[in-house]
Amino acid sequence: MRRDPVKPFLAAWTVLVLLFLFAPLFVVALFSFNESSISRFPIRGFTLAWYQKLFANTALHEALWNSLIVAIATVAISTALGIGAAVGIHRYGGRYGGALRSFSLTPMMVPRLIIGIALLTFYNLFQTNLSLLTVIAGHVVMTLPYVILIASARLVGFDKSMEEAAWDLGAGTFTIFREVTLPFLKPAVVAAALMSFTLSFDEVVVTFFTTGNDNTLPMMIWSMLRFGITPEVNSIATLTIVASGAFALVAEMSLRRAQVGSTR
Amino acid sequence: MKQYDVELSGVVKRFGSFTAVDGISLAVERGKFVTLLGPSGCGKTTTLRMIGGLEVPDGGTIRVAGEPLSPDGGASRPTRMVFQNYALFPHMTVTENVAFGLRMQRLPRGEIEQRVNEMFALLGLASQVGKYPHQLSGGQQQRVALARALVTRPRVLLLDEPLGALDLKMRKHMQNELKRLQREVGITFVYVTHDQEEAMNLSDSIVVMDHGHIVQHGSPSEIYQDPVSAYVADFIGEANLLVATVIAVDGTSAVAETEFGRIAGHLPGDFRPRGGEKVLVCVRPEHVAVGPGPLALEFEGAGTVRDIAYLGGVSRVAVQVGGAVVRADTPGLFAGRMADATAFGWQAENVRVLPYDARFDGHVEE
Repeated sequence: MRRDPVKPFLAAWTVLVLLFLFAPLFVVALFSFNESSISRFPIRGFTLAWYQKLFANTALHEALWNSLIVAIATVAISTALGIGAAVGIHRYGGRYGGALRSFSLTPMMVPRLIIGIALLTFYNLFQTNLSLLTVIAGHVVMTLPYVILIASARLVGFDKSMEEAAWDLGAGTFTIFREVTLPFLKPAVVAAALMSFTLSFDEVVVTFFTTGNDNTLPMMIWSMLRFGITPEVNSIATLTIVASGAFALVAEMSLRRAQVGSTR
Repeated sequence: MKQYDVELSGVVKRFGSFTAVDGISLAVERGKFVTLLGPSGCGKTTTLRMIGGLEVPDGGTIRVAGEPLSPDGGASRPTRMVFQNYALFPHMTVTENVAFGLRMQRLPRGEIEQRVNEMFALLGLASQVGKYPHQLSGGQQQRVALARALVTRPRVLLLDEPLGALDLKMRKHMQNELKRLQREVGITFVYVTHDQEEAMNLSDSIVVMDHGHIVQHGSPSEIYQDPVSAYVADFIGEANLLVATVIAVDGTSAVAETEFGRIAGHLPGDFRPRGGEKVLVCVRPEHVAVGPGPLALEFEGAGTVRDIAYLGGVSRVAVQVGGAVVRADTPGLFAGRMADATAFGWQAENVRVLPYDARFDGHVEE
């Protein structure tokens, strides 16, 4: 084999980048098991006390519950809307399809802070009572472009003659969608749902502007930080990282399956 | 009385400013294997898709099985299509794919199972039932697509270049399979291809298309022996097309002057050129004899051997005559050499005098 002088350099570089990405997360996880209440080396000893304290905190339970409600509702709404939009653009967009798709993706590029402010202004204008409903609506605005993006990417590989074949064999529009289009989109639907869930579950900024008295988990963590970074915060962060990571992993696997599947 | 399964009358289809099908009329007899033949862009696939209801014509009428075509879908439609890329449902097994159309017809489960199994037996798919399309070879996918369409017992089966994706050997094999299948099920097949050999092998009749028009409709032998135009003669088989000027017309035969002599030949259909009109004289290479003269043929010329290609059964010899080249197929190995002076010739019955078409002027000189 050809000797590649860049290879060891690239290997070292990769390790460095991974270290940069994951060292902070690792440190957070490490300190969540530390006996000392100050997040500083050296480690004093191993304890699960902070996790126990966490599970006893009822305010935190409520926040977690709210986060789950928001995330699940966001997933349901933005997946349904986004898949519909992507299929609509793909099927009926014609020569405006590309422009329409790009336009529907712009909220992804707008800073969350601006989305939050815009939503709050909008809600005030119509004198909407801020509640979990307004939070859900905000999260849908934020996650919808990702769903459209993922579904559109999958649809690029879609062979329209499959729908034609189904029509030819006597299927109606709804049957074609349910039996042919949707099964084809399934990996994208799974990926988009997991992506929306993760985005919604972690969101602070948009939630901050759109919530009334209800607290979500990331908001709770944010408020706990006023007392400094306590081991309790570290343990909750660790749990969130693990959960998000698991979701992201499933989403990635599902997307990969989608790409392999589309090559038939 | 003849019964027609597909009747087109003055059918037009436009895509924006492009007219894909320009007022064609066609009647397809029940139980026949009919092929729409032409190069890409000639309108053959659009015509097929209109018969299948996948495109709505901008003008004219289409009747299938005697009934005007309805733009609505539904399981009682009289046609089924086999798509070029098969369009199998990738998330369904072979059985589920084949049963799809019967499920849409809301048949009882027992009958679906029975009819699907009949199809598997007919197409030799019994060992593939639990597999998914991506686990099958191209030829097997082709069979599944055929089974999926035929299981619904359509009046007319439409096939859009179904063998295009297969390799040569598999294509030949599937051609014979298709012929057998059509005979066994006895329904009308309308087939689209750009492969003239495939069309010749499969069809009861061939519809040659060009730029949205039907140029000729006839049996393979009619199309081959009596092409109505240089386009048809050139597309189906090999043809020498020589520019000439009409000298005399007598009934269905004409004499035309070329740069190397007067050639007599038959006129196709109702083509009756006037004296002095520019025409193309068409002779198939297999009707041209070549060798040391005299050849004792009704027409004889002399030229120079420009090229010899050994094709196995025959040798193709290109003879330069002035500015023109005449190609001749001679059995076995050709005895002459390059640059040899040679005679060539043919019998008048094998010559066709066709309308002039600028696209084929100088065709043989390339």
